[in-house]
Amino acid sequence: MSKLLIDKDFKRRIEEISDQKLSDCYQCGRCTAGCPFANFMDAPPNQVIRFMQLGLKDDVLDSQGPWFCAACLVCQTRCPRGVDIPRLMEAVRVIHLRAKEGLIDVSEIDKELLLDAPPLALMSAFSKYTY
Amino acid sequence: MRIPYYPGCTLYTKAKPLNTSMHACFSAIGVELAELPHWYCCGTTFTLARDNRMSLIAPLRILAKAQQENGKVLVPCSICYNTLKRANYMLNEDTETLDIINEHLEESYDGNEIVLHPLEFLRENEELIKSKVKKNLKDLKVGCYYGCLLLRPQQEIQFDDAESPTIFENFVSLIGATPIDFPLKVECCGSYLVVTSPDAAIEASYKLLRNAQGNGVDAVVTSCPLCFYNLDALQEKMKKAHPGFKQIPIFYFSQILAIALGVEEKNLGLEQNKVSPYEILKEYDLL
Amino acid sequence: MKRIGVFICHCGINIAKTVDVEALTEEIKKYPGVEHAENYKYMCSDPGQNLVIDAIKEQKLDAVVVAACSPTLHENTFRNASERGGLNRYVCEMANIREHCSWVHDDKTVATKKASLIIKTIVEKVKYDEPLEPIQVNVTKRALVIGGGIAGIQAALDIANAGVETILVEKGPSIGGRMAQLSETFPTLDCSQCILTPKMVEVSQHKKIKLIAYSEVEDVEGSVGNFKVKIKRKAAYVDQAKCTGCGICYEKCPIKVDSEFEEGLGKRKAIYTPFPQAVPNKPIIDTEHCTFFLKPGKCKVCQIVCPVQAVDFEQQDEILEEEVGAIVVATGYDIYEPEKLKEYGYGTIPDVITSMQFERLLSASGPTVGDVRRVSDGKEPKRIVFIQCAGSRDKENHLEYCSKICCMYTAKHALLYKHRVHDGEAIIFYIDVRTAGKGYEEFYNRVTDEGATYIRGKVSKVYQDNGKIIVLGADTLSGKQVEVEADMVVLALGMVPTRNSEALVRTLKIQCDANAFLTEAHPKLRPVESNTTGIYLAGAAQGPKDIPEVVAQASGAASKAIAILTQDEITFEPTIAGVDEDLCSGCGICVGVCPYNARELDREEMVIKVVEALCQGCGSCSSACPSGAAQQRNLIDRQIERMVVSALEEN
Repeated sequence: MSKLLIDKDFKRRIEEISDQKLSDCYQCGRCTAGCPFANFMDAPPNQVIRFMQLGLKDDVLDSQGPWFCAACLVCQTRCPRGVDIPRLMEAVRVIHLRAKEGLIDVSEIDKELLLDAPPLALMSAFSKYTY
Repeated sequence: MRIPYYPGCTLYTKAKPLNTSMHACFSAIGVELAELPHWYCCGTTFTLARDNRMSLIAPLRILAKAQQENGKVLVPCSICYNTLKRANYMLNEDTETLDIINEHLEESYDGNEIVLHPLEFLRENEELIKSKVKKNLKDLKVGCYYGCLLLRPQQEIQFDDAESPTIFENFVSLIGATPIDFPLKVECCGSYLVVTSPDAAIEASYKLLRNAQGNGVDAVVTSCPLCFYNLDALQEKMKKAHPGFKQIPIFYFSQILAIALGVEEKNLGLEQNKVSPYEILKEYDLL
Repeated sequence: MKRIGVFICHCGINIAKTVDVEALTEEIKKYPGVEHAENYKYMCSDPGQNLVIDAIKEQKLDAVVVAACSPTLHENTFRNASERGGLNRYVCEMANIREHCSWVHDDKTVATKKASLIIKTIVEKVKYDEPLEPIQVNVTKRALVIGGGIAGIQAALDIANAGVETILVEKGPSIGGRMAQLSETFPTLDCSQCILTPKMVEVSQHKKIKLIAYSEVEDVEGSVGNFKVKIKRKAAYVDQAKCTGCGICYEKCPIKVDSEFEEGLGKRKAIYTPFPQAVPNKPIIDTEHCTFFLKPGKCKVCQIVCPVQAVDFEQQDEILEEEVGAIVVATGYDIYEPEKLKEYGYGTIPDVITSMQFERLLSASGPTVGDVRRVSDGKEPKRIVFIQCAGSRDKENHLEYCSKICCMYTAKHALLYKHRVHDGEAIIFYIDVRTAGKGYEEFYNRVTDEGATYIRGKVSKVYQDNGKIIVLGADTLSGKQVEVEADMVVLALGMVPTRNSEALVRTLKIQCDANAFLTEAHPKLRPVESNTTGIYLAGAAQGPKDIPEVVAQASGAASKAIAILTQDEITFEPTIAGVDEDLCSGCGICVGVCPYNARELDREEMVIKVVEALCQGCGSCSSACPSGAAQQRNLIDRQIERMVVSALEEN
């Protein structure tokens, strides 16, 4: 069993970048319930937020959840506590990207997709997944 | 009538049919689309990091440019519309950031530009449209797919009710087609996940197309080039993953409007659709 | 000059820890007018009170200041003691050196200095206090109970059983309220109607209860002991005196309408009683649907078939005037509007129903005689999803509060469903299961034992896909998204105060909170009283609660009313506003600012008269009066001025 060590600086950083209050979340799970991509995530949205609430920096940063967030904002619309969850997910991505840890390397993108997909798909993906 | 027009990058490349049909429709109803001079990319996504001011510069400069033309700018691409509208909302709420960005730019923006989607324009000009309809769409059963960006966040976008919107359906009725409601019309198609996790986009798009088909639609209509791509181009892959899947044509809203307004077929851009729309159009005698 | 005694309390260490009571006593002894000062560990104890009594006698004191806690707590104690010592009770005042001083400061020197200032200002006040006599008013020994649900029924029965005549006004055609609609009640599973209807019958047969149904309170004037009430009896178009309740009229009426009592799941006629055991069992005509009223002169079937000629299409609303001494408000609740939960598909998916509709499906007297059937096709649902907190605990979009009863009634729903459909699956989505109540946790255990599945997560969306109802939920405990195909979905909706009850709240001049629930005088110590003396609160109108709590509160409200209604006279504090008629010009400014309608302009003498029974001593008139004629007794301008000066002089 490991001791709980709440990384308060990390919590503060998440709250600053996202402009959200982590204590607002009462863990009802509605974000996970409605997320179109929750079943692709190792930790669904409410769990990522739980990691954040406990200041578990490594768990948050290791989680694949935020990379599957398409910012569709269904969770934000239905959250009973007014938490803008996509902003929290963006905060995680931003922390990675500012540390020069991107999800994708542009050179590895499928050539067919590069030729076929509309530019805004690529531009959006680059802005969310590359630094 | 003349209205400033911001097409955005994709309408010049992969979503040309949206651009050509927009121009054709608006000229048919006697409205000139005045493309903003020297426009650039909006940035494609509205930044969700509150400490990222860089991403607001492009939307602000576009808004400033539009403001020199008129109080309103027409934006047909859902992504551009969402990005510009959210940036506009935020800069109005957070005037400190507005001032900081203004300080660093040649142009200056005061926050008063109105970002308008063509569906909003059509809602405000129903009588005009009605008077120009030449070809009634004969009860073509259309599923209106809103996606995310036209609706959310509701407080900022103020386009329609985020859970049960009707503006698209009203538009479809206006041109004589039959709107078919399907509950997943407000859910996400997978968006840019198509680049990193194509399976996620294929599954999400499949789920909502099936939901639309279950309600008996002939075709699905959208306003977003990315949704259009996911719903249309991914159908081959949906079929591979779900062998029973039956393909269904996807249209831009401006394409079916153009048909109703009697625009020549060559200006509809239908040949670019991956899933052929011709059979259903012939079936309803619309070509 | 008055001889004033000051008594300083340590309150254990509550005061003495922060205030140097010994130094304070010495300081106060030197203050002009103070003849005697002493301190004691607990002034409110018997020995402490005796110190006051003895000092009054021995030192021949004319006035007393007790420096201790808030006057809301012990003013009565020391005024009684002063009376026992031979003084008028209104020349005894309290100086609050606990809540206003020791509890909110740390620095002993500063706190002692502040305590001294507080006491000195009260000494200045007491110097000008006049001996006063309490105001006495005769009591009208009748009660009014508004609302005929279980709260109103219980309150009316309790008051009537104490021998006091009681008027029970019910808005609808029958008493019984929400409880009459329920199937069985948690945690004992008594049949709701079986335990309610005997009480309804008792009301109808009680010699001391006058039941006025299908009526609403329109206006209330006066104050405790003497309220004048106007009640509008709505036209029922059936002569209540002639009607025997035989029922042939609604049997023959050709018009079918969705029944409110059946929550739209069953039908009633245009002339109807809401349910078979209705009290009074006299039908009314619903003019919105009756053919006669829609096409004047047509149909009249009910009139033709009535054997006693009771149907009277000419009947008009009438106003009844009643006088009562006390009022119990028991206006009940509605459920939260399910239409507002668009993402749950209510109104578009026929088999998404409300918790109240499910009660009717479970009820032995309901539209399916207790069989659980789908609204869409009449089939037995094999899997029902219950969604708790539907619109509750959602400050962003719906109700911020928890309605307290939904966890328990949902558990009951699941159990009763399992009893009806043995191979049925009950799946309950919840955020927390709140089972605070006697036997409640045990009941919840029984429900899980009998096979209900609890899933911890709030549902995001309910939608139809290829003919199936899909519930999109999550199980936060396993960290999984959960999609359930359901045959039926029941929304556990919260409670809101009965719609359109705000007008009544304004008429009664009582208060309600941001959610429109009635406000009690004190959240802990006066939970059944409104802020207006003589008006008491019972039931869900005051806040969400279950049946046992409603009944307890109703009995509490009744006992408060009985306490007043069994006296010949009631007394009021005399510290209310007066008028110096020599100074009053009759300008009438005070009439406008008085919140209690306690001031009237005497047009002959052109001076203001105070209606003493109505004045609550709030002081609005004295601050508004331009000439200084309006003065609050024992808080006149001169007193306030001296208190301020004394506080400032020291600095």
